[in-house]
Amino acid sequence: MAAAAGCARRPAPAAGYRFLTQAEVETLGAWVDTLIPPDEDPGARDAGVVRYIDLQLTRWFRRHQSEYREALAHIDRWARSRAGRGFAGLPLDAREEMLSLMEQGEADRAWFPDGGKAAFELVLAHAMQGFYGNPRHGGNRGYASWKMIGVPPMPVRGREHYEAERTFPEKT
Amino acid sequence: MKAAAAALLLGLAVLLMIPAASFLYEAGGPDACARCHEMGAPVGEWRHSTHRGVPCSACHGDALTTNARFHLTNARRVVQHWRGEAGVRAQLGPAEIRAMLPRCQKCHQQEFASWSNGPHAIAYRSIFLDEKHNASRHLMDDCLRCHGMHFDGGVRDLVEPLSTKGPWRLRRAELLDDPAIPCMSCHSIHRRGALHEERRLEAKIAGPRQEKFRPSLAFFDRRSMAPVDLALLPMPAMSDGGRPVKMSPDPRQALCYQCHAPLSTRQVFSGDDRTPVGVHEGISCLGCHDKHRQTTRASCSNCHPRLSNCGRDVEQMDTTFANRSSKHNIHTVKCADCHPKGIPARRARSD
Repeated sequence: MAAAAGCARRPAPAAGYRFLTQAEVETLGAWVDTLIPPDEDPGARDAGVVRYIDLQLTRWFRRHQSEYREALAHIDRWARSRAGRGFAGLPLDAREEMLSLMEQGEADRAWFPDGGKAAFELVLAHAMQGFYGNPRHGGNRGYASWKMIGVPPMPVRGREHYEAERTFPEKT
Repeated sequence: MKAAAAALLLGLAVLLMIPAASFLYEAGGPDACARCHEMGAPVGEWRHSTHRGVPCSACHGDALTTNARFHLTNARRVVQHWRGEAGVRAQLGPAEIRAMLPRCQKCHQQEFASWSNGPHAIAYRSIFLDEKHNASRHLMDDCLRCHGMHFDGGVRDLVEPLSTKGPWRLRRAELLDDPAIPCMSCHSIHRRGALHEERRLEAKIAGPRQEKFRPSLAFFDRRSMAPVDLALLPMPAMSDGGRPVKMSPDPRQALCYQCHAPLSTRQVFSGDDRTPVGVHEGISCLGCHDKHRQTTRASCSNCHPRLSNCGRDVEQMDTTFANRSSKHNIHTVKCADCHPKGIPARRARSD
């Protein structure tokens, strides 16, 4: 019963997601795409960073669930109070300006009592992990970032063959 | 007495719940499988794969599978799912990989027979209990990169003691005779591609439309716990001393280089590298080695004697092809090895 009650209180996740609602997916997508925007290479959203954070919010980041829920709601409301539109609907430069204020701890304290620094750093850290980490954790879709920086998914790594004398007798 | 009967009935009911739940789950087909987050990606890939004509149950088993471990694994996954601890995608452990081999064999009999008779069908026992190796080298997790890549643990979970003093034994005795390099080491079953059935008449497919290689070719990466597509595998730029070595453009070689790899110096024959130089420089591994058996016996005649400079029977020449103790390794043999006083002028062709 308690579990069922717990489920009932939790907003329904977006289709294919485990924790984030559809609105949260869009806001977080805009947030991480502002941090790592797409150019000739995929940005954070296309590289699966939102999926990574969503997945980990049900696993290792479980303790950050309420922080995310709060931060995503507050940045959206802050955007509406500034520009009359949700954060996801803002152009890139407006989003950059807001995140810069958060980075400096100067966001509207009506929404972020600490000026937004903690939320900014939390999402930045997780976005970096999801973008540059191993795809097995849910992000870095198609090795997007590794391709971008020229790191092969599987580098060629040799080890001395202990039976080398059998293959290349002239080596021994 | 009644209490015992009730307990027995309850036990039976609980036991039957697992296959009953499996039946219920499987009744919905692939869509039912994809309902769980961790199954969505594999099912989505399967829909476009070379195996999309093969139902999930043919490879992964179903409620009628007579293997208790299979059902217990599924039950454990259900618990993980409900507790929110499921990973990005469901992974196959060594037991499931072993169970899949006869299913591969069912359709790919020729390939399976060739692989079974080749060096890549080597068992865990031969790799990890090799006394000569273990007495001279420490076993390490990196061994599992190429041998036993599907093993669900580190090398300390597999072999003991981890020292150069034996006797050694496998901690997972059931793996002793299992192949350490199974089909799924080099093939990704869910990789996008044409149906196998569509290739039955491949001899009639025009050259430009033919496959250069099977789309399933991929190397299983233990770190990612996923196969890495051939297109993403790098080909090393090899050197012979200071000279860059001419490399074959055959992309399939990238798979070979993952394990038969040079050291970071990228020098030919460093590490376990076998890049040919000399008269065979620029030839792909698969130019001579049969892809599943690795045999080479019939390969010389693919090119010789027509491409031979001297027109001699190359199979009889003093190389490791004819005699393993020859000092002329077939990967390195040069014209000058047999013509130390200079290479004779090319004979005029009679044809």
